[in-house]
Amino acid sequence: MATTPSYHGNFSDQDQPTYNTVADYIADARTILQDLVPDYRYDDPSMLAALNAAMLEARRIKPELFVYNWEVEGQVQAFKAVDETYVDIEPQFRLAIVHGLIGHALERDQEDYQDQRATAFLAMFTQGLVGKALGAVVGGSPPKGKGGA
Amino acid sequence: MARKNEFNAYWGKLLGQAKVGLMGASTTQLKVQLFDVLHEFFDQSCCWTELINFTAIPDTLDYPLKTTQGRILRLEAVLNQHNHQEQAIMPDIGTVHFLYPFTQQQPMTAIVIKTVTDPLVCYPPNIPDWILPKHHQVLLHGLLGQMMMIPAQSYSNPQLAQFYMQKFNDGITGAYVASVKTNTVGAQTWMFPQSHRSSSQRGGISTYNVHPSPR
Repeated sequence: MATTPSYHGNFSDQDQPTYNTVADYIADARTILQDLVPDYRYDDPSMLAALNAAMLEARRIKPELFVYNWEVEGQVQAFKAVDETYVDIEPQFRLAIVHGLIGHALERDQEDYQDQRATAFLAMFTQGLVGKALGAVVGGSPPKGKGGA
Repeated sequence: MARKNEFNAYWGKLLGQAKVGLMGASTTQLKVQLFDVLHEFFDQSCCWTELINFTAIPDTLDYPLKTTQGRILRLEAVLNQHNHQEQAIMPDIGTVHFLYPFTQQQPMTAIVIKTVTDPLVCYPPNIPDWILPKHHQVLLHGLLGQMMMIPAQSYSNPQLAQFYMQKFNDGITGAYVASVKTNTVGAQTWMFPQSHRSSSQRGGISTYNVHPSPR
């Protein structure tokens, strides 16, 4: 059956189109956060802060991802707008950055189940970067009221 | 073009096989370690050499050399136009220093041992085309061993690292022996040390050897 042509790399991971830009990362994070309708619960500045924090944490956990920026002493990219700026991360670690972004965004919520969910995403972020199997996403539904449970 | 494709295929094979045994490793880390593996391989095996021609002139002892690719590690020999070995050393890497000055201008050939250059910048590494098809398994063992020695990674494995490093060291020894024997099997590579060779023709023996000296 005919399908649309798929991307196939040419010895260059810079061209891999999945999670290429800041807008790509934040769009997918909003999908997972179920925050697709404006006005957003997680606004652009808070999402950018979360992405930048995830990048800094990635530098701590997986420093070699940034070693090729040796001309600027391995500095980490920082993003100031949700636009088409390229996020320079190897393809196999891009999902981990998305998880880190979501985990950081969820940390601000005060509901207990969101704390658990934030912890799960931050664990997936770390495990994705160090190359271990990803843990389970937990806390999918809010706890019931006093009469529930 | 076919040659270049073959070269790239060997690089793809090397990194592809390495990734199978190193789940979770970043491509960046693999490239960084690969540079170290290549440097150790060339440093210990002395298998990457270059012959560099230059002209010795009277009363000048130092001659900077320029390679076509790679970085000079050490000097193997300097031969004059008659393939006699000259008394030369390399106190500064990249510059031949003769122990005694010459009285007349004459062509010389320096044989140097080389290694890789441009870490983090040049990928694939700038090495001769014949290295990878011949020694890709040795380099794979070195890469796996070096990567598995890194602590606290999903692919850390000190026992397996030791195994691969042993195979890497064996491979380096094999490459060194092949280099010394100039890639021959059973051929006589020994010759009377050329530094002891006389340039006189006493006894009616010509000293002007038309054949290149073995290493």
